[in-house]
Amino acid sequence: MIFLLLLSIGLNAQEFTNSNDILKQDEQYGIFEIGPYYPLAFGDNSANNAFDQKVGGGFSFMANLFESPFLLGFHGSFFKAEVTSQPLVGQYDRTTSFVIAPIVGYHFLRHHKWQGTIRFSAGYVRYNNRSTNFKFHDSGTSLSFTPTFSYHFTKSWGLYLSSSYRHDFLNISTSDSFNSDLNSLDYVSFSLGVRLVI
Amino acid sequence: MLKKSLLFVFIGFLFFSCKPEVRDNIRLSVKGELRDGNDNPISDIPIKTRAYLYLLGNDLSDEQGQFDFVSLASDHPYFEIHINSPGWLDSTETNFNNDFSTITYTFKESSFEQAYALSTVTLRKRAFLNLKIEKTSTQNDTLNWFLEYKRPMCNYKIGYENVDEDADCYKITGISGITNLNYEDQFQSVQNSEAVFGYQINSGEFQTVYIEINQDTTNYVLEY
Repeated sequence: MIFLLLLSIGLNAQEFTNSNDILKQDEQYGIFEIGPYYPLAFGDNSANNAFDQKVGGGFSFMANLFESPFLLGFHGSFFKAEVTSQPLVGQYDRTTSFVIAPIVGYHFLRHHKWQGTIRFSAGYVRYNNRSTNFKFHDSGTSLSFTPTFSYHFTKSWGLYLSSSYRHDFLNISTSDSFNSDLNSLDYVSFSLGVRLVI
Repeated sequence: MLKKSLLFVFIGFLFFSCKPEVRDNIRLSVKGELRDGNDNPISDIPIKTRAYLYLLGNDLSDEQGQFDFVSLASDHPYFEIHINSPGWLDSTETNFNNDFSTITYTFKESSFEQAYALSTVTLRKRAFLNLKIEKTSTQNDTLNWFLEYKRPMCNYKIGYENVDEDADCYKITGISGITNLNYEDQFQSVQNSEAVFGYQINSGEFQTVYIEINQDTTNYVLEY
């Protein structure tokens, strides 16, 4: 829903931006974003059936490539979660998820007030799992697709809102009956934060 | 003083270095079905997996008596599955069902698997034997007695060399005593089993009594 709303705002904004593009093609710039990160798990997998995710945080840094609208950078995020069903994941209490991933993106909307990007990232994900007596981790690859819209108060500073589809492929070695539940996790995440263009 | 300090450091190092680690990126699965002696499913029985002092997984059997859950794995050389265990030194099992026996599977490293399929596991009905020894004689008689009965637990050992898997299954245990007073105690056994009570008054002939345990509670009273 939020994604559709953002898309609608972005497309409406785009109608009057093409002639008013303030980020010139021949300009080199960098974008830094930081803000809270709220993941919502969905589907028939352990992330949705056995965890209660909390709000975490995220950041990203991108620069346009060879003065074009194509972006290259990296992204990091984390969140904590409580285990709500130990029979589905094992006997531990909580986990902290970290992602660090390179980004490729496209800066499709570049009005002086409204800006929009689409990004794809693929990188390393790690879940640091803890119980009272021990800790261990699960790891794998995280893919995400993230449309982001931002509103700028000044040339440099603005607020962004993003909605992301994220899929984690974990490398947990387990029996066939639990393989999909444990290793294939789906999230939709939301983030609202501060954006700096330099 | 220095030697003592070094000894403490050494013992501390040994303790922490012996602690097993929970393994990264690995999960085990444990499944099976619980039935009583009449082939009826047993629900709400706790099933737990452990290694060293670590609890690695837990579940309750469902209405069909089935369980199928995920357990962590450790690098400890033993992996245990406990069915209807009353608890451990560090914890009490709140879902323990006192109507049924306890079963434990201990797997040695050579028998580790990724999926533990226990198929159908039969839990025998637990039974209580109340033993009462009453002294009715006014003389200073001495009673020499023993009681042998089956313990309400079965410990399967899998992957051990020269050990039968079910050597410790509903094993007979015993207690004995010499008294010239009254004595009373309760013992836990399994239904449809037999206890043996033997006694000797002073230096008389040894008597043996076979006690059938067919009910939830069986009372046996000896007067001497």
